[in-house]
Amino acid sequence: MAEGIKQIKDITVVYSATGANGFIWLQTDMPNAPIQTRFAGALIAGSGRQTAHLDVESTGYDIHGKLVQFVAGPESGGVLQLFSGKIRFRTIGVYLLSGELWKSQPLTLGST
Amino acid sequence: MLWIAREVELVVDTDAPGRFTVSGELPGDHVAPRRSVVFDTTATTPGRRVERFRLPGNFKFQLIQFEFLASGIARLYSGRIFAKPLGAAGAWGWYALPIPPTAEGWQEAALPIEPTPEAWTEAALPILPTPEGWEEAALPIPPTPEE
Repeated sequence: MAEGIKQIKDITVVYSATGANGFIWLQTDMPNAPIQTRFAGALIAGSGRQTAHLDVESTGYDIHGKLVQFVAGPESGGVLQLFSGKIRFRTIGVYLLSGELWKSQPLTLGST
Repeated sequence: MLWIAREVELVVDTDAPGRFTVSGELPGDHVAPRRSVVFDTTATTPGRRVERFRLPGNFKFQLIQFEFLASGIARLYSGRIFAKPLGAAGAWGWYALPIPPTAEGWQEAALPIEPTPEAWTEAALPILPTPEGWEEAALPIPPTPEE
C-alpha cells in the first residue's frame, strides 16, 4: 500500500527540434518498480522554438509514480534544444497494487 | 459512545474487483467483519466512481474499522460513513473515513531543464584589442657618428 503516489496529467515542453523530431519519455516506478517508460511523446520538428502540450491523462495513459524521471533527445540526424518544461500532477489518497490491503485503525467515529 | 451507521460511500477507481470490509466490535466485544462488499469500477466506468452500500440495520459499534483488499491496481480517493450517536441528541451525519485527501486540482512542477535567459549574453571574441593611439618604434638604421 502506498500513500503520496502522484498521478501525472500532462507535460508541457518549450523546445526547438530541427532536422528530425525529438522525443520525450516519462518514466515512473509505479506500478511494478523499477523505473521504466510509461509514456512516450514526440516533439515535432519545425523552425524556431515551439511548445508541445502532451496530455498524458486524456490519451488513455494512467500514469502514477513516487519517482518520476524524464528522458528527451533528438531522433537520428536531428538537433533538439530544450528551453523549459513543466508537468501537472496530483497526489492520490491511497494507491494499492494487486493483493495489497489498506486497513484503518479501529476508530471511534468522532476521531475520524 | 455507541453509534449506529446506515451507509458507506467510497470514491474509488479499481482495475479489478476489490473487497471493502467494515468491522465493529459489537456484539461480542471484539472487532470483527460486519459487512463486506466486492465491487469493480472497470465494469461501469474507466475512471473514478462513487460506490455506496448499505450497512446491516442493526450495526452498532463503539469502535469501527475499514479495510480494502485490492486484486488489481486500486485508488481510494475518499470515503465517508453515514452515522449517528445513539442515546444522544446528535443527528445523522457524514463522517470521513481516514483516507488521505486527494486534491481536486493539479499541482505544477518544473522539469529540471536549465533555464534559458530571455536576453542575450555578450562575450568578447578572442581578438587582441587595437589601441586607439600610435606607438613609436625606431627604424633599424645604425646611428651616424657626429665627428
